[in-house]
Amino acid sequence: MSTTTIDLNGRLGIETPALTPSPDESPTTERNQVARTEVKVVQPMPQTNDQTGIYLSLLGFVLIFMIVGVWFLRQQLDNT
Amino acid sequence: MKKKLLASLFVLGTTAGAFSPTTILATDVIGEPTADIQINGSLGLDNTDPEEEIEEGDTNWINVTLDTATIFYNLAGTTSINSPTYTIANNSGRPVAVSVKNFASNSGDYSAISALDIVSPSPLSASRRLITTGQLEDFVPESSGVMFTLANHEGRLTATGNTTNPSATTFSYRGAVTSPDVSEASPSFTLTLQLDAVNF
Repeated sequence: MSTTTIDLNGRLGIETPALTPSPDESPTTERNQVARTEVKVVQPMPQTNDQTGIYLSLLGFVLIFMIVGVWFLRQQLDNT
Repeated sequence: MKKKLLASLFVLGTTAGAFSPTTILATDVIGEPTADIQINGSLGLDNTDPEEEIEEGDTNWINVTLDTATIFYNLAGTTSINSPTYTIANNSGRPVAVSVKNFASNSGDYSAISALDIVSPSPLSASRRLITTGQLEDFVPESSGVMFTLANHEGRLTATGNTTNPSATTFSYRGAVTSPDVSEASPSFTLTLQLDAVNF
């Protein structure tokens, strides 16, 4: 919630049609803008001791290494 | 020779790839007394941007430009009260609901005023009675309700709504005095408007 005030000056029973606002009655503008500070939390990344990933990766590495090794040895044997 | 080189590169690449996932596997905190949380701050946000990360309904969404010095007048020999036309515009990325929170007298005699309203014309078509038979209306607590809601500066009232709603409007004062020959007077008042950012 924000509030702003407006000054309202009345003239009752005026004899002359002085409808133009005097300088101190002229409308002025107020820019109701508040300075902003915001903290945003994005993608928290807690610590972990979960080792499942590295074991799976090592298993994959060993399998690939074996496949490549077998393939390489077969190529060597075919060339001899 | 070329085959050996290719095989070596393949083995090295596989070895490097095997260890890279350890840097992104971070989901659970188990058996650890502490946990680090990354905090990214955003300073100098722009509340005219509807996509900005400002909490819904927060005062920081308020960005309104309005005339704050206004007058009304009554000519001798007439009973009507008139005023110039003033403007209020919403520059915010959120719609803003405008209501009258308080209306107070500062000085001067206003007993001759039989009625005084603040009026916003079509399409918002809203008004609030400020004075009735020489008595100020009581707006405390805020019982007047929302007078009108200005769309955000894009003309939206909702995040997915159309952009044709007014984000600015005019207002003026209308009313009457008890007789055409009231004594000359210059009453002064303070009108307090409440501005509430509307959730998208």
